[in-house]
Amino acid sequence: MITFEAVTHRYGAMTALDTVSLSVAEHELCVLLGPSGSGKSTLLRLVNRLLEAHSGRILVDGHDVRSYRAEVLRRGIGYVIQNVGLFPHWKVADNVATVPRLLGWERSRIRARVAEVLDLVGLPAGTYGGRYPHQLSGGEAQRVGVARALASDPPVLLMDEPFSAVDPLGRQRIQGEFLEIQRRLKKTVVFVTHDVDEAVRLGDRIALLKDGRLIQHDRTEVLLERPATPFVAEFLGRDRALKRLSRVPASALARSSAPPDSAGALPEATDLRLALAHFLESGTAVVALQDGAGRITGWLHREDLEALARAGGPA
Amino acid sequence: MARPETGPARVDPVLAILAGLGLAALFLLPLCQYAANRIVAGRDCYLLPASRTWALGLMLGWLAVAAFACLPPERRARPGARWAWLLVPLPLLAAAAGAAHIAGSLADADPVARVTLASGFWVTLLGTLVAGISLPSRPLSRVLVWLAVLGLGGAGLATGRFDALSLVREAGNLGPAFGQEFTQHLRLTGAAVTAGTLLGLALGILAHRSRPWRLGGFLTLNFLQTVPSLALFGLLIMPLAWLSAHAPVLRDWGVKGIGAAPALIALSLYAALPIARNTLTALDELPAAVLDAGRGMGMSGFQLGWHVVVPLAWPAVLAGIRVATVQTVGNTVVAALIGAGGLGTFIFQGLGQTAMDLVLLGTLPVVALALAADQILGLPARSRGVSA
Repeated sequence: MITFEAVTHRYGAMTALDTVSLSVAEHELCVLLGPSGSGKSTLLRLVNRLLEAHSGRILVDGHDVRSYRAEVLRRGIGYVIQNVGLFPHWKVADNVATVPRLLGWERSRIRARVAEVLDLVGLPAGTYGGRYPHQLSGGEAQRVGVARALASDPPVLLMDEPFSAVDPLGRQRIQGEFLEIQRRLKKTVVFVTHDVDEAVRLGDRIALLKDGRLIQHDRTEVLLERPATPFVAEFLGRDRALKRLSRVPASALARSSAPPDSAGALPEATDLRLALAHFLESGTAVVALQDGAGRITGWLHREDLEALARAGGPA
Repeated sequence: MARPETGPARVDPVLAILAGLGLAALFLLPLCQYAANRIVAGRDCYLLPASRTWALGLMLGWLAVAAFACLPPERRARPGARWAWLLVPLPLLAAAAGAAHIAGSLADADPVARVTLASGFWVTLLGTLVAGISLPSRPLSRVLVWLAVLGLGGAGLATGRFDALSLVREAGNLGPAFGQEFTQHLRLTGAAVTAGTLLGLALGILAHRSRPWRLGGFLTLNFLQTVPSLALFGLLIMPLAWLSAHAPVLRDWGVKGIGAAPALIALSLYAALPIARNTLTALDELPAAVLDAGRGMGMSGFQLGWHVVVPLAWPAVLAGIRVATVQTVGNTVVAALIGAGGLGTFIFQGLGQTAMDLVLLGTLPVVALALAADQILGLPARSRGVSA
């Protein structure tokens, strides 16, 4: 859906991006991860031409981005930024309606769509539509930012550290909500962050950048299992095994036969990192997994979990 | 959103002091001075023995203001308290009527005798203005009340009630000249503010975009601001006279070393500074994220400007225009010295002849114009302040 072909960008004498090639498949959430100054934001801003590449090509849906007028291109791509950037003199509903208005939709269609996307991000239009941005909390403002980007239902979303200004608790919640939305809408998302946990939690794939070069681009699990260089291993952290477990639901390792003895039960959606915590606390070797209705759907064995953790092997 | 408040005072101190001063002035200060002619020293006239009716009116007016000041704070804060605004003009109207009464009884018979307004009247006027500013009100109703006061004053003038006052006699002597210079003052101020606004906006925008303009432009304007206006008028005489002599086109337009041309140039430059500075600050302080979001969502340059930059920067720019206008109304007085006309003409004539009534005839309209400009240009900002 989005392809970078040998893209280079310079700020004066400094090379911010050095022949980066990367593609993001349709419906995929690709995280651009890296330390500050690695070029990840630059790469993102090349897609909607807030910056222009000095060499190389960027294709969206098979078309070179330079074949569109910049405004037309941008109206077709959702855009969410760190400081939200809501228009302070417009009410929430008007903010969300920005792109549909630019596209010249009819009033009734805009009103219906605004209500729909505000509902989607959990801010009912009746309550929030008439508020001004300064009347919102940080988390609410960021949800409005997401709603605004989704308003015209663009196939592609660009998100530049969208949740980093939200406090840690609020960030986890909004990440979870965003994952839910993404599961339903299946947008093609390019998501910039410097937060490894956020990248691991959200990314289908992670592209790790350093000093303007693409170091490794892989499915998140693969990146955690087989870091390509010592830098990747170091950047991801020493608890890579745990991070890897956090991406796997317990149900993935469930056995169907009942063991002779078991203690306790966990929801089947629990991730393996939390399941490990359960084993460490309870000292048991097996735990039952339950579905939402409380029915036992399988059994998780500690030895299976440990085997999986070892499979990645030390870096 | 409610502003954080430090708890209102139990008695409104400003209004209480004003009412006290106003009452003291009634007893202690002369409302007018009577002189047999323009040259001899005057004799003080007090309102109280001269007209019990108007003295009572003035006293009741201030007592009503004092009573309002002593109301419990929560009652003063009620929306209905805005009606208290109707009290404010009462002392002023009573004082004016009283002065007209005294003047009528003393000077009517004698065309050479003069009754001038004295300290008691000016204290009442000042007290009224300050009380008006410190009272809560809707900006629009405030303007309407002042218009009503002006209307009453105008009606008094038209029906000849104030004719015996020396100020009015002096105005009568001037004849149509007063109206002409008043109009000229308005014209000079209006043109200078218009040109200053265009110049200030342009410079503010240029300075926002380029560093050399920021340094050079503001250095120049700041320097100009330190040059006294009279000196600047003087400095412009030579180059404009030269231009006028060498460029017939300019001469045809009326450009000369003295007169309106140098005055307009200098006044426009003075007016430009606050506008340029506010424009620059407003543009510099536009949140970068907002502009980035606007551009990233596909607004064109024009759309971003019209829908985002202008509405967000406009209040600060308007505040600059307001400061510039009030300032220019005053600065225009000096323009009379280089033959540009305006109300300053009377002030300098009056100073030359030690005719204080003539000075007042120039000064009072300038003060009124400045106050009016301040109130009217403040309307949008204050109505936003009320609703936000």
